[in-house]
Amino acid sequence: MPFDCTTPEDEAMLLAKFAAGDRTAARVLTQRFAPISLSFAMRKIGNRSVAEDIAQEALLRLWKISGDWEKGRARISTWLYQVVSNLCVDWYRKQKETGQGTDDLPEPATESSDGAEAKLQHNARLYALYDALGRLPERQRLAVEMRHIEGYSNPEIAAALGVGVEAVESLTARGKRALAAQLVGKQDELGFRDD
Amino acid sequence: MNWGSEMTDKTEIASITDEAFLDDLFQSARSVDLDDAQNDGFMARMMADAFDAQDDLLAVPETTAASELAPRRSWLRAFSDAIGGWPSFAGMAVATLAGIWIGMTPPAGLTDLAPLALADTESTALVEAFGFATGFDSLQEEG
Repeated sequence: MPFDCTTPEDEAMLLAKFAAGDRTAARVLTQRFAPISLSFAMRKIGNRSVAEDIAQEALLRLWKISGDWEKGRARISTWLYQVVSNLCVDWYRKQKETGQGTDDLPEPATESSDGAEAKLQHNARLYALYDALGRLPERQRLAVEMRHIEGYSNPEIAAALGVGVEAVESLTARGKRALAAQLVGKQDELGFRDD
Repeated sequence: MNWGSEMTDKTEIASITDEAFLDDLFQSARSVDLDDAQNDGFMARMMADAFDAQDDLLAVPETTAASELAPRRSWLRAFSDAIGGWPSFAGMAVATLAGIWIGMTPPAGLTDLAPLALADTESTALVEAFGFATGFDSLQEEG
């Protein structure tokens, strides 16, 4: 299949074709990566409109560098994840600066305890988590998010961040320690019960 | 996706409670309900963006070509750059003026020397006149 998109080489080839003006490559890449970008953003930003704007910006950045994409580079999805994550951190910071609440945060997929209170608790948890993540150094934040929220493997994260697997483990461990230090004392406030 | 590897760095966290608390928060983030990303309007806009971006990328060589059509450097500027700029021009001007001055008011010795140098037999006379030793005489004597 001329426009398969399953390996890094496929992706590099598609981006090269994109940069050369190939409309079919543009369709394949957009259909594959626009939903992924939107999902990344939606997981962090509950507001669909904001998430779409962030996904749109991330893809525009991808198109801009399409001609310079290197074959040995990380997968497009992990590259997009980093861009979306950084844009989301910016959004959270702006929300905080402007005193916006947590109304726009995403809904839980499965509400074990239905009701407005559970939703508020869920939003407060996400806000606290992403606020704390946003304070971490970028690589620590990305390593923690990609591993513990998005579920990427350490080798995938290593490729995305351009570091070794051991460095990813170190980044993740330090990131979690820093997160724990920031969130200590908020267990009760955020409804955590250590059973 | 690899959820299973989450346990490897648990010992790095100061307290088991903190670790469990973080895991609980991560679980909240993972449990977010994602909207259907295949929204027609969104995808249509993304596709239009992609095509526009392609057009912009293809327009870049034209911009480059236009910059290449920018006014070219004059030959004088190019020559000046080639010889080292205005200091070289200054040196050349001084040398030119000195040449003109020497030509118009030549030193007395120069006017005497010129006919000797230009005449056919003057090479011998010149050597003799100024006592230049060629070195061949001594070689001939030594045999």
